[in-house]
Amino acid sequence: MLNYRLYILLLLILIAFLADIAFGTIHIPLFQILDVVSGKQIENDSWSFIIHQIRLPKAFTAILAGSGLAVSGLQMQTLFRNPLAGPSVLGITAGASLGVAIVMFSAGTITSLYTIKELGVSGSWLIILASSAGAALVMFLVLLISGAVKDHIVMLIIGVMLGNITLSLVSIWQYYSAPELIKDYLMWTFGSLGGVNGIQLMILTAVVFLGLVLTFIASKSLDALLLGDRYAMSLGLSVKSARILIISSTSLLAGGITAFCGPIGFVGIAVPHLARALFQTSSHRVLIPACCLIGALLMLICDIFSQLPGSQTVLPINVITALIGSPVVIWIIARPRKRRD
Amino acid sequence: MMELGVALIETEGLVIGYPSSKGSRAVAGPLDLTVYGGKLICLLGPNGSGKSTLLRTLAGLQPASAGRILLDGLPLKTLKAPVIARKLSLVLSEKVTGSNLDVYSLIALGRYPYSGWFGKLNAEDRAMIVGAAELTDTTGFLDRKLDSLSDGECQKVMLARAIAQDTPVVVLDEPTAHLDLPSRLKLMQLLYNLAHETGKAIIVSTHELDLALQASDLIWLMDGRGALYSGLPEQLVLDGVFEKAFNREEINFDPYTGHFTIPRVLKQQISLNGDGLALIWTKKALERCGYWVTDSFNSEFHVSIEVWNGGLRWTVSISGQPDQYFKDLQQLMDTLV
Repeated sequence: MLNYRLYILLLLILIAFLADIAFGTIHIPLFQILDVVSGKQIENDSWSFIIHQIRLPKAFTAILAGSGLAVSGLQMQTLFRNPLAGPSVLGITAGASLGVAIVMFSAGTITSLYTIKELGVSGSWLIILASSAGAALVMFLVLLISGAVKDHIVMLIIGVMLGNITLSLVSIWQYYSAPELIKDYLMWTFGSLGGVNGIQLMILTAVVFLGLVLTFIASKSLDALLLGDRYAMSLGLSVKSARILIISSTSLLAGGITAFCGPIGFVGIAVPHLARALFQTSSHRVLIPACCLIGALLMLICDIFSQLPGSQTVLPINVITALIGSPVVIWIIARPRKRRD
Repeated sequence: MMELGVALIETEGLVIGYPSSKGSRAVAGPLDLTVYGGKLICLLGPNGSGKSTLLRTLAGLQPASAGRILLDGLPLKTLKAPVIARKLSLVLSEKVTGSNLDVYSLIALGRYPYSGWFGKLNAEDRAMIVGAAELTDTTGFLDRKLDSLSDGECQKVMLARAIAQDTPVVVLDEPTAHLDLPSRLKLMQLLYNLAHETGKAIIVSTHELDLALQASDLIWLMDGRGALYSGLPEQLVLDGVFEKAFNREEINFDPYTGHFTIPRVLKQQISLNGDGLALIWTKKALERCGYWVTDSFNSEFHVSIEVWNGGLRWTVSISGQPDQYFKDLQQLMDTLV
């Protein structure tokens, strides 16, 4: 049962991956794409360049971002015991934005991704560090408050407000910044899977891989936390260190991805619910890989749609994830719940 | 002397309390308690007397203000959470909601202290889970989601999880709080049997005084003023400590029946004769309406119950008036009140 779902997901990801590479502003025949992907040389140099330098990195970025955001959302939903938790909902990506803004505006150079490029490898690490630290800061605040506020909806509103406060701090900074910097920052906030190339892609891969490994280490603790802190403690879990581990990996995933791709919403909150519905389990040993696969698939599909097949326009990825993610959130809130008698 | 074996829990001069800005606020103590295996202990006391605080302190979830606790002979303070988890399991009154857990996975979490890094279960774990489900009569809904269970089923499943944890001590904080009467009785009976059949020590806090008096081997009664009385249920009634702990102006503890009663302003003396159940329940109805019912004949005001035409008939004799006859209690009470 479990395996056949995994295989179908893997197959769908492969199809979406190829489709994502096939679609774009310049038409490249599918067979040529298959040739390039399978490592053969093709005659058309510009096609080869587009595939190697633009489309493949973008598709890999989509897979990394989708998996990482989905897993960070899964961890947050378990940690806060709140079905509406997710990096973009509880202000975590806002915290990451603050970190990015600090680096970007104080660096005084041009554009997010250009900034990263100009700052080089150490700059990439700097922006990831700042972004993850910003994410961890907000997440820690949310966690402190969630100890006192048990109501899901109230907690959600507090998270949204914390996000607003964080973003308004960024706005104040923007107000005193040069117009080019503001424009570049705004472009970054739309989210983009493109432009993560070469060394940055390797850094992003390393960060997401590390985040996923930390999450796997925490998977047993996450299972126990489903029962709430007190039960988890009575089962022998050191809740404090489990929290530190979970906050670290969530911040690393959400912060690292946000640093490179901008604040991408809705994937983190929606995918864990899809994974639970599809695999009918609460075990994180199953849900973590399930979230990786579904998150990657969803992000690839979003990226395909953002190309608007047949047109020259590329929509910001954030618009597409919101279009697909919002109905899922509405479904979570509005679906009829089974009541106890 | 009966051989009681090693105490599973022992406290010496234990003071329980909350941490507060001025160090800590003591709720109760000093307490010297001993818990042996195979016993069901009921912890009673008015709201705010510190029942939950005591249970949480014994479970190591919150620190003691003073004194020390020995769990299975070892000082609790020095034990790490995984060690405690193999000696003491917990059932709380708070509900676990919105987790997408099914019953089997929930009971399986009881094996958490024994399973490896990624929580994979071995054959022994699975046998413990099935065994725990059988003991608690929950095998019928192992594949159901936790959110679809009734409150009674939910508590049984939480208990099954605690049993799967395979600990000599099980602590339950008001497990009967949200249950209807039959479920409360069943749960209490289950706990009693469990303690006696498996030799576990089970400590359960409850507001069910009647149930506690019937089912427990030992009662811990907290009086809300910092003291805890420990003893056989019947001994505590004889010592009169229930009155001290619970009596307020609005309610009385009746040491004859072991029940709490609502005190009434007595209007009038009335005598009653009859027999069987009809006598008992007529007496209760009259008392509820404020009559002081006596056995010796009262010529001023008397009620008698007889069999009449295959049913019952109540006759009211008031001096100076003709007798009145009633076919059921409703008619009788309507006329008297």
